[in-house]
Amino acid sequence: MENYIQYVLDSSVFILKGSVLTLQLYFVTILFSIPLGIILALMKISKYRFLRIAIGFYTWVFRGTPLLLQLFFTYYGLAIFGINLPAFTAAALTFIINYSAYLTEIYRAGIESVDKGQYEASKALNMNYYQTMKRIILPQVVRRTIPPTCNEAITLVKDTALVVVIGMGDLLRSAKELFARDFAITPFAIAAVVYLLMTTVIVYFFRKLEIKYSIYE
Amino acid sequence: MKMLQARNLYKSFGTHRVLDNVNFEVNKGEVIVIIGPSGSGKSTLLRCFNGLEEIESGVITIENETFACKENGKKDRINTKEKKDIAKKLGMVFQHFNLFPHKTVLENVIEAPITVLGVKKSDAVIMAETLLEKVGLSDKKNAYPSKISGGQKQRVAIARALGMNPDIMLFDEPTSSLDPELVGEVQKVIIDLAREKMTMLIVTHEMRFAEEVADRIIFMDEGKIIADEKPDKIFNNPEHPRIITFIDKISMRQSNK
Repeated sequence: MENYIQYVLDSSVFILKGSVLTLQLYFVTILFSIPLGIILALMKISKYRFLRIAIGFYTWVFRGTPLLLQLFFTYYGLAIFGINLPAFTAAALTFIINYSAYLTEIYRAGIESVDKGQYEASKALNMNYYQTMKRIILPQVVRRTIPPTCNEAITLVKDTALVVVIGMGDLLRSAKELFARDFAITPFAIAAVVYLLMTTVIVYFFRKLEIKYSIYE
Repeated sequence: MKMLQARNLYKSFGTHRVLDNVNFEVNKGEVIVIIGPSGSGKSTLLRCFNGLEEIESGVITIENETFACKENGKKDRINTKEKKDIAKKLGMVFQHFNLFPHKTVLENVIEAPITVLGVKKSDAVIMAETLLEKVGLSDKKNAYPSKISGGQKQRVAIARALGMNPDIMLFDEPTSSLDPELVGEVQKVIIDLAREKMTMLIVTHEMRFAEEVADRIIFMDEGKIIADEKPDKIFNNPEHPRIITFIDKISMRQSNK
């Protein structure tokens, strides 16, 4: 029994070391794709037809093809053209571009759900486009899009496991290495617990955010 | 001084003509009430004055400055920046209030003075508190719009519009979406403004209120102004058959309430 506890602890430490990379990739992606999603959403509903079409094409491609394929493309595909990205850069870039595509559509729908009376009131108060968006529309959009953004944030935790295919050592890969060494199911169980812990923290964080923003409802 | 002039205004939605050669003027301190059947172009007319709608042709002058000048759907001779400067002289109150739901009552009032006019926050707060007192809502200043009644919302909306220090106030059916018992409190605020000689254009279906507050009544039907008279003339001695039918219908409905 004592031996088993020791084994679980050692395995956990090994797997947690692997999860450092998972977390790094996670935060880089979140940090860039949320603001990017908002900016691209504004472009997607702009009065310039060209912008609308360009962003529409972008979300069509990146939501319509597997993330795994996109990862292959940035890491192995671009190498053919002499662009050799380090694994982490390739992964981060792919995740940011992919997740921004989903968030763009979430925020676009959020912006379009704001009553047109809000725009009219802003205009009647002589606010310009930038002031209207920043002070009136987007704060309401952020509140409304917390639940779908939370969904994306949870999916992202699990999607990070895909980086195994470009040779990166993340949480899941550490677990798999232990499995290969010991032929025991415990490492997988530990990995599951770590994923669950991470998603629990995320859900808790978004729940807090939702409560904070719900005071005006 | 002429606060507002409309000359030969035309506008259509598709084949439906909503403004059909509209002409009138508003003097300083005058209260004009616009009445008429639904779809007669009253709200559209009001919305043309602050640029929420565009006219197809005609000239709009606000305090002797041309705000819009168009011929048959050609490009407006007045550019956007000039329009913006002139539009600052108008405040507007909407049927559905359009308060900012994520901001408190006080924040609703100080928002535009701070971001648009660059007023210092402390000054804006003092000004907003005075305005909220005027509309009788000092005790609600920290409430969010969702926590107050329709009548209170509309009074906040009036304070918010006044916060930009406009010379002319536009009211687009300000009491139409209120419960009957809340209509009075909003009308009282508007009547107070009239006493202070605020220049106002009011679209409403409340005939008793129109009679009380108006210096002149404009009657619109199918995009045309068919009367522009003193209230007494419109209500007690109307000439046009359209007006007679309309007043009869309305007064029957309102006495049935």
